[in-house]
Amino acid sequence: MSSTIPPAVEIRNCRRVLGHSADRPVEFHLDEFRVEVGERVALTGPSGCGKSTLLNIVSGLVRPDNGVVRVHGTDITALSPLALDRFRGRETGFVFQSFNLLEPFTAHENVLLGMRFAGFGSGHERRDRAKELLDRVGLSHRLQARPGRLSVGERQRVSIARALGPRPSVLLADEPTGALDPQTADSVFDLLVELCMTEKTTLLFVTHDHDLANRLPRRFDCRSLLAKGGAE
Amino acid sequence: MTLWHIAWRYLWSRPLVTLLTLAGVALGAALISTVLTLRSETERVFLEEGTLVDMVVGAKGSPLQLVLSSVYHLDTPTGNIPWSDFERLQSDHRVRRAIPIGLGDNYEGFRIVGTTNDFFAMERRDPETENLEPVFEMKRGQWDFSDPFHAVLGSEVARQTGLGIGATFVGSHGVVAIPGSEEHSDTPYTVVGVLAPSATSNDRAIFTTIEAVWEVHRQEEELHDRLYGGKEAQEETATEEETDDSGGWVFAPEPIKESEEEVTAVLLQLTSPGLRLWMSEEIRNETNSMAAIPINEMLRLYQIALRPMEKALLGVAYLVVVVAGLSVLTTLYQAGERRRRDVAVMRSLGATPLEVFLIVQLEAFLISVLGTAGGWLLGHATVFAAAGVLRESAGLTVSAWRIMPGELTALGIVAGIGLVAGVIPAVLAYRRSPVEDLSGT
Repeated sequence: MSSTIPPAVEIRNCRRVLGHSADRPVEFHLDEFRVEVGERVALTGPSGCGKSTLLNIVSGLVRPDNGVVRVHGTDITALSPLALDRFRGRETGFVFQSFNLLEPFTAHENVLLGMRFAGFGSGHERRDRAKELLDRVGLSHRLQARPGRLSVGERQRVSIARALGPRPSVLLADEPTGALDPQTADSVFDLLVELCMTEKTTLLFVTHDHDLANRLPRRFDCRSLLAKGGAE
Repeated sequence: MTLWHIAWRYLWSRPLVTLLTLAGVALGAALISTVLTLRSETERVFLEEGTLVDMVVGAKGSPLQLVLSSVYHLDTPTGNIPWSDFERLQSDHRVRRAIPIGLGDNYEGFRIVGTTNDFFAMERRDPETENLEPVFEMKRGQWDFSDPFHAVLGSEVARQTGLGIGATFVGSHGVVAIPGSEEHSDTPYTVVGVLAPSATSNDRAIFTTIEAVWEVHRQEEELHDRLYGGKEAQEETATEEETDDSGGWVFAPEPIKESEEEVTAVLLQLTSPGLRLWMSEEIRNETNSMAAIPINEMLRLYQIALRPMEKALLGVAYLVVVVAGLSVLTTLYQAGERRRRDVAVMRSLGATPLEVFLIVQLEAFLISVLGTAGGWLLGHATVFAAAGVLRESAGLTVSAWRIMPGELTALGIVAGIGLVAGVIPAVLAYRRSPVEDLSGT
């Protein structure tokens, strides 16, 4: 598919040695991976197959030993560490399996923090955006609650609001429903997809749940990432 | 939300540990503040008081003892000198004011000082305006020494004994209170005045006429003679002491004529402070008396006795600060270990390693500065509490809330140690890879 708009994610000939097992290097290897703007992709595969590494490479937390990684047309492997940190905050959002909310801060402050580190907007804009997002995830009444006072479902909603705060172009969701009961997982999944659609955010969704994966338009099997790369 | 805000929140997310760490830093800072303030204030008060009198003349012995006993009402007197010595000094053209002091009795531990009205005319120079101002002001009553047994009370004496104008009391023998010591019940004193606080040792003294002191001791001698024999027996003993060749000081003054009265010391205000050394040498060489310069004696006391003690105390205080610094390091290191995941999350949200470093360093800064400020308050509150004891026991009026020379530097060092202690955990947080800490989350 050709387009004048650069793809949301484009990876070519990406290699990265992750460690050694039985004196043999364990290498992440991805020849080609391309996700268009606004796409919603399920990343599937067994534990340890490289799904999370793929997310870390897209976010720049892991730099490949060679190859090209472009996010929204920017080759992030060429960015300085400082520029990469800022780019990560601005262009990518993370949602984790165990929520990873910062305990000393309220729900509202957790969302603000995401935007603060991304350098998004003014203080006033951040406060308004945080309130708006928490309202959209149904937590307008829990703004001042600390994570410990929230249910697991509510925590994941805050986490989604935090990830979407700086209006990232790509949302990286690493098994966000893995710690939730099926009913809550369903509602969180629906919320995530709906918000990504309305925010026009590309979604890379790591999951073990085939039902959820099948509800996304595209699936990417990561089983061969640590051997010879992957293909749709 | 600023990095300050983030650091503050993390600090108070573990309140007990933070409070204990703060207490450690505060304790070190408080010790330093207390030592510096007490040292500076006592030195200031002692030296200020030491400048009131240019010179003290008394019986030969220890110059420091002479100064402490006659100016600060602290030590025992070195002995007595003849009244004629006082008269000779009074007529010296270099002497602006000569004040006789007679000691020997106390009331409830407060010394009864026999003197003249000239004592109350003493002046001190205002360090700012350079004007001469009276040292003493009467709070109640008047300087009425028309009757030898009239007494004027120092402010602290009036406060502690509850004696007021018109009250009478009798002195006990000795310059300090000794249970069971002889009371001079035949010669009661009547209070005619109470001094306003003068911030000097004189607040702890009772003033009466020199004649009253003579009279009390004349009666005492008569009683002594009746009980133990006449003056001849004592003179024999005195002669034996004088001829004692043991090599020590000979404290006995030259034989006193029976008719001649004595004084314990003479306080001198000279026409010029430049005359102090010259006159003291002259008195030492040409008379049987001794002259001591209070300011020199006090400086010597500080140099020889108090400075090493102060250094030892400051050493202990800095040791406490170093321990507190280590506790800051331990606290922040452990906190850093506990929130490795938080740091990784911040990095995933776009925080730079420098921002992570600054958050940890700001926590160290907040602990150090708050601990130091709290320590300053605690230290000065301790001095404030000790001020009452010092006033009652030594007549020292110290100012608890003044910032001492060197105190800000010392407290800066305390805060600096806390900051340095924060560097190691901050660098560890700076260098940590977020990927490892995020794995499996």
